[in-house]
Amino acid sequence: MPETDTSPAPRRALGISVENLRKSFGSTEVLKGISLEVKPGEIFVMMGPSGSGKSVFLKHLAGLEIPTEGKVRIDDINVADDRERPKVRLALVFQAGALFNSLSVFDNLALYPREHRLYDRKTIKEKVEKALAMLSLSDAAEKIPAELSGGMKKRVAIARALVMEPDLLLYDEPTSELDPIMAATISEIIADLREEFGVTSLVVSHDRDLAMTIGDRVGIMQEGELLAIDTPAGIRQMDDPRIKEFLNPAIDLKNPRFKRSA
Amino acid sequence: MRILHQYLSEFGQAFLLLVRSLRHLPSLPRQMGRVIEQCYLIGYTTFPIVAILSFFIGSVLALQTGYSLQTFGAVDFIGTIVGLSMARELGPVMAAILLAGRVGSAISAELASMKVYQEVDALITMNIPPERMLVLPRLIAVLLMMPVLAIVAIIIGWLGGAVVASQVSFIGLDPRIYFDGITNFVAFKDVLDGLIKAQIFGFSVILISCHVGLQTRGGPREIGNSVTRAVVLSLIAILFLDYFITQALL
Amino acid sequence: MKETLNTARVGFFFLMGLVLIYIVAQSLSTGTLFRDRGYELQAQFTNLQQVKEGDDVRVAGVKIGTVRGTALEDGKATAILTINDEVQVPIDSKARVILSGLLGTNQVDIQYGESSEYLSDGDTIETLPTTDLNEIFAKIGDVGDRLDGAFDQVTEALRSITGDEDEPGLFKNLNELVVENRESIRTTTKNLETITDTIARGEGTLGRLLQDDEVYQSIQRITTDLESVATNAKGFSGEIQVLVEDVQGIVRKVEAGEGTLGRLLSDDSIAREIELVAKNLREISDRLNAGEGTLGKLLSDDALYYEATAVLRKAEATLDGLGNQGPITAVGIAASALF
Ligand SMILES: Nc1ncnc2c1ncn2[C@@H]1O[C@H](COP(=O)(O)OP(=O)(O)O)[C@@H](O)[C@H]1O
Ligand SMILES: [Mg+2]
Repeated sequence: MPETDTSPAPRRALGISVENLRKSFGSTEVLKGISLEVKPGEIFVMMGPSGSGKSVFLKHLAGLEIPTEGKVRIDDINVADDRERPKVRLALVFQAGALFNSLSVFDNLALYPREHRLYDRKTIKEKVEKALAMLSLSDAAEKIPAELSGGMKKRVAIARALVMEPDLLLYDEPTSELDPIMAATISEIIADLREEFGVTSLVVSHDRDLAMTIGDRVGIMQEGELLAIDTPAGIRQMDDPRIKEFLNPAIDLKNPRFKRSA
Repeated sequence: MRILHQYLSEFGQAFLLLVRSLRHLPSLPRQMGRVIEQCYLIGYTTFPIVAILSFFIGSVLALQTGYSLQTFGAVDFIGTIVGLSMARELGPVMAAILLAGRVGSAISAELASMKVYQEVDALITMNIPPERMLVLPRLIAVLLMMPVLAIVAIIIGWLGGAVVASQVSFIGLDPRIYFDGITNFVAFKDVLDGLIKAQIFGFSVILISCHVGLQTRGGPREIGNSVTRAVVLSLIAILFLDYFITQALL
Repeated sequence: MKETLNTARVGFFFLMGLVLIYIVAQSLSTGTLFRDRGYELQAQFTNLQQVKEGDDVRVAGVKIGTVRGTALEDGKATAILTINDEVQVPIDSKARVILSGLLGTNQVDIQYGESSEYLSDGDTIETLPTTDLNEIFAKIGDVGDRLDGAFDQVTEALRSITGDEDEPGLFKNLNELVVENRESIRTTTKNLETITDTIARGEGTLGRLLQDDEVYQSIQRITTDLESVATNAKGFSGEIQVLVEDVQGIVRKVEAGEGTLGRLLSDDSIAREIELVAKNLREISDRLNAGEGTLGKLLSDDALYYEATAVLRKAEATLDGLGNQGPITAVGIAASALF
């Protein structure tokens, strides 16, 4: 049976190995040969402008896209293979949340442990409520996703990923719709998970502050190519004008169009 | 030729979806809640429209046969004709067509929306196969509900025929003769054949709708296209299967 | 809360479906979903017709059970009847297959016997031969054929009397006989006249002979002979009349029987046969009445008889002159040759 995990496996840190990953949709090549190693327990932040292929890259890690070329392995498991993927316990926080619209917030969170019968009802309830509280969602438990704002949806998506108790967490722009305070909370959560359980995290974001604060290493991606991988400090010192441009966009404050706001 | 090939591959993929769904049969006892929920949608909410439509189908059938048969003074046979047509053909086909229009479209819309908004992807990352959670309960529910819908369609169609046969002045058939025509010449096997037919139709409609919904790619606009495709494919399947099942059951 | 409500609705809905299917199965003619309660009887028929599973078993029109199945046992059609438990069927009852409607629905009808013993589960009930609608029609057809044959025979018989072009009938034979002998009869008559003339003239031995008692008596004997010939002829016509009456009787009976036989006789060929017979009969009687043919003349005109008596009267008047026996013997021969 496909249901392999019936009890919560002890958490183990997972390493990611991506080798010359290429992906084409029709004639347009979105990923142009990406190679990358993420060590177990590492927090890796992938940055890049919109449309550079970050989300597509993340889907490959979750096994939702099949590489046109190259290999994606998580802890030596080929996630592109439907039969092998379930061996990896990973959670993906989708860019748009991907909440189950027919289920309440509570049921969205409880679905995974219930389906896999990880805990009894009471424990599930406790764990769900704890995750909701972490993201200040306790009042929204009985709401359905349609009643939530964009930021709340994102938080529910993160809470849902936490309840899954994964060994690898993939975040697709976790802070994009959140206020700075909540963004800080997310940063703390990511850091705590690594502290507590050694969870490996791969965060896709164009939030410079987030990348620089929590990232062990940062990758810069542009038009399907990985320009650089380095520590936040290393990245900051890079000379590549494309990276400089991305990290510190030269905004001409003397431009008359900004006058009013300035 | 290309269209035919396209339809055939569509049905083939739907069949593969069925096989993948059946692999999750052992999970069924845990999914009874979903099965009942789907039963409610497929059976209970579809019941009124099926009842109304089959009443009118039976009425029209009685009216038409009555009009034709009065020329020969053979209106006594209306019961038999309406009885057999409703049981063997129209009851099951009507129930299945309404199912396609009402439930099949809703299922394909729901699954297409889940696909477009990445809910299906979310399920996959959670190691919850969509076939298990989204397809299997619906297939089981339609198996449970379709015979009910079909027998309702058949009986209400008969009643509709009886009302017209007795109330329309140029027919004026005693309901007792009408129902004698049914009880004497419609065998339970005819009704059973109708129920089997309905079962196969309903199952195909739900399977096709699930398949089309899960096949959806692209943005929200594709949801509408998927609904159209699901209904069209369902109707084609119903009429196509109707011929072969009828021949097989004769 | 809402979930349990829906569960209840779905449960109710599903149960309703099952109940509806059960009701339909029970109402329709071949409900085999659930077996009727009751005991079983077997009935062997020569022909089960269209009796099928689920047909009614009735006593005087009241349903007491159903036909549970049909089978062929030892080449005999066997129906297994399920009889309601509360109904007791006497041991000498008889079952038969009857049509309950012109549309062809059959049923098994049981005629109760007198016995106070009752049939029990697994027993075999006696049966009456099946009246098959087809057989009835076939029989009616047979009757028609036989009637046809009978009429053919009547026609044939009459034809043998009247005769036709190819085959001379009895009447024709008679006719021919007379026609053929007409000359000799006339000659004889002429001869007789000559004789009587001669006698009248009292010439020859004949005249003398007539004087003789013996001769007179023999003449008288001849006359009686002739008379009896005539009576015989009359009697024969009587027989024909009886025959005619018989045929007419048949025709009348057939005509009277038209109501019961219904359209059977509307068969053209039969009607034509009967018409032909009637025509033939009429022809015969017409011909007889019109005195056609010698027999006719013989019967209606009595021509020969009168002629003969005239001859005799003349003969009487001239008995005196009769002297020769020869011609008298010739008259006798002529008369006896005629009949
Ligand atoms: N399923 C798809 N089919 C075709 N093109 C796609 C698909 N998904 C993404 N793309 C294209 O790939 C490119 C990268 O998209 P994406 O990874 O979503 O960008 P981002 O870095 O903003 O997340 C975009 O140009 C997008 O149009
Ligand atoms: Mg993206």
